[in-house]
Amino acid sequence: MTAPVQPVRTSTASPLSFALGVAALVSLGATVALGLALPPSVEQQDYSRLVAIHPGLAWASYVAFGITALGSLLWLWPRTRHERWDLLAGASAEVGAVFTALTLATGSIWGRAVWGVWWVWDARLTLSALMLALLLGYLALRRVPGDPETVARRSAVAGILASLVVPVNHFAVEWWNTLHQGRSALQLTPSKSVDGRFLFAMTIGFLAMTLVYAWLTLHRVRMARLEQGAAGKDLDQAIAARRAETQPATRPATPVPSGGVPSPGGTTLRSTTLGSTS
Amino acid sequence: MNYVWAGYSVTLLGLGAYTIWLLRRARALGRGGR
Repeated sequence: MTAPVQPVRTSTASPLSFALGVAALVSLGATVALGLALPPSVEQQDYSRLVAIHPGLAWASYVAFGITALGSLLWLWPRTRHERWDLLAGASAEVGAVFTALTLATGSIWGRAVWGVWWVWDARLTLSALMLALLLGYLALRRVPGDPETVARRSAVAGILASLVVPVNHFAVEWWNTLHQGRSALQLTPSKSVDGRFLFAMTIGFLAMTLVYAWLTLHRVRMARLEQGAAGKDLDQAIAARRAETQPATRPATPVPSGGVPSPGGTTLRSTTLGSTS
Repeated sequence: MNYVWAGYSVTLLGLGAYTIWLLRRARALGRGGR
């Protein structure tokens, strides 16, 4: 029994990605509208409106780390090992780097507005910067040449190790004295002092960023497959070109020139080195 | 309020720029380019 033949994908679009993209766009629009319509708060005045986007971006970066670790684990586990998990881990890390960078950027803007400084070496901020550095390092590691199995294995180990920073960062505001405010979400007993409108806007922000992350990751995984196809095509062309160089199409009609050695097939072998660029 | 606009703008521009890069590259790869 043969495996079903899957059609060759020439695009990253599909009905699923379209539906996901529409949902992401609508929820992102709702987040912006709800966030900008929030009333000024007593403590932070207008700046509390950033609560609709900043925690959502941070959440999406956590999700990206989690999916990278999950994909890495599934690749390392012999029973579930499949190329798709390696591609998922790589795609999630790249999208996660975007979200982590945006988390740092929006956090820095919020810090400048409320704390008066763009940056402090606070535990939460420093660990967030470390998250970005780990993701960029992971992506660089994936580009180090090697056979696909080796690259996937070392990337998987790195992806799992990098994800260990997420719980540390999440609880950093409780484990250390930090300038950053306490956890605003994922608390077992949410604070009753937070206005319901802020909680609602923040929740929609979480949903929107999760959907945007999912949509981008879906496209990135499919793009990785297209990249693999292009790389395979390049390799085939390079092999064909090399074969064409070493196997002349026509036999020489003229006598063998001096210095050349007649080959059994009648062609002339010259003293060229395979692999040299000319 | 300027910081609020800056935060939202950076977010939307960042996500938009990455999305455009992703879709353009995917389209180029789908057409057989690099």
